[in-house]
Amino acid sequence: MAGELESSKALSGLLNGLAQEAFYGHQGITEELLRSQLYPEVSLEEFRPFLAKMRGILKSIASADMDFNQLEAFLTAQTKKQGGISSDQAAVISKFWKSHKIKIRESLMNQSRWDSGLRGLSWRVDGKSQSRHSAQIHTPVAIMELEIGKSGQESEFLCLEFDEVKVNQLLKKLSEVEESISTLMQPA
Amino acid sequence: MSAVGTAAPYLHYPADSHSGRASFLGAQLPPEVAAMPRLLGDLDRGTFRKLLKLVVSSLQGEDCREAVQRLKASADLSEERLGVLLAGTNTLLQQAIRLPPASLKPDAFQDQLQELCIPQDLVTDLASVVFGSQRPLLNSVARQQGAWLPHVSHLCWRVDVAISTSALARSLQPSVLMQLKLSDGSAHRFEIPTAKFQELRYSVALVLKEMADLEKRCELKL
Repeated sequence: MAGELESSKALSGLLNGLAQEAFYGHQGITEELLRSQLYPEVSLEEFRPFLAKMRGILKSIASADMDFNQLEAFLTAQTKKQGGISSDQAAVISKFWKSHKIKIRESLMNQSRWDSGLRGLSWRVDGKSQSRHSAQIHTPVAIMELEIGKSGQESEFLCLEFDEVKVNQLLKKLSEVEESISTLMQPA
Repeated sequence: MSAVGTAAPYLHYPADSHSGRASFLGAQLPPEVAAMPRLLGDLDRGTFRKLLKLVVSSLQGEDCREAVQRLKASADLSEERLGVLLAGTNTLLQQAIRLPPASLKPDAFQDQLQELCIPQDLVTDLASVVFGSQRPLLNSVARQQGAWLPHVSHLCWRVDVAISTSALARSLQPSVLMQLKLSDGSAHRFEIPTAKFQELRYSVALVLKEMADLEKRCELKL
């Protein structure tokens, strides 16, 4: 009993380690590290194929972004296979995917984003009252700071000024984009 | 005392003399304006009018370097004298145009110039620029010259849907690509993930509401 629990905990740790390396871009998680930390009594020759099998299963699930029905079917098939997994192991994998699915998917999508992306936005509305050239203006002006950056690189900050007309124009364009997305994503 | 030098005449005519109000030129008379009166006395009126026209063109944003050279040659003015007159006239007009008509009335403007010992006919010429038909144009140029952060001159967008990628067999995630061209000439292209896009849209709508509220509050205060 205690041995099975132990291996459940170890497998959970293993899946975490695999995810860190394959999906979250964490460097330095080697085979040897995983073995020595999680399965110290298992030899490297025995550990290697086990690791490869788990890695393969996790990659299949992530790449297909399986929903829970698909996951169930897939794992059941794996338990029935020759050299597959045990039902306890299937339970651990299922639990892991349920809690990490969204994060892993986001991370995978990021791997295919190579352009700069909008990371953040801050804004402020000022009342412009005076300038060197004009004593009384009294118009509201919006200042927006866009944080833009590529994956793994430092952000660039873009500070822009908008009067009311320009904000309106921007909002109109964003509404057009929204409409376009809604139309696209509607079920056929 | 000696630091003021030949600009000393203005000390005899304090800015807020018998009129009791502050001069439109500020508490301290700009040195280029202070140096003007002694150079205007024997200046040909035609030359002054040409000079005034030049300064007005420059305030309207035109490049007047060639015109200045022509004036210098035709009027036989020394570089130093021309420089003082141009600078002084420019400052005078700029400071007057900066203030709205409610704050600086024609009479007050003329009185203050007379206090500076500027000849009456030149005062009339200057007043016709500040309070004449060219004023709206000068105002709009001044507004544009105000301190600005870059603003968006052109915006185009595209919605892409990634069907499949090397990492995800079935992606089907829409993504917005935006290209901004700014007033300072730079261009920026970036992607906006769906969640960030909704945040952007919400923020922009909120900004518009805040601006409308602020404008209402400003109107009430005035």
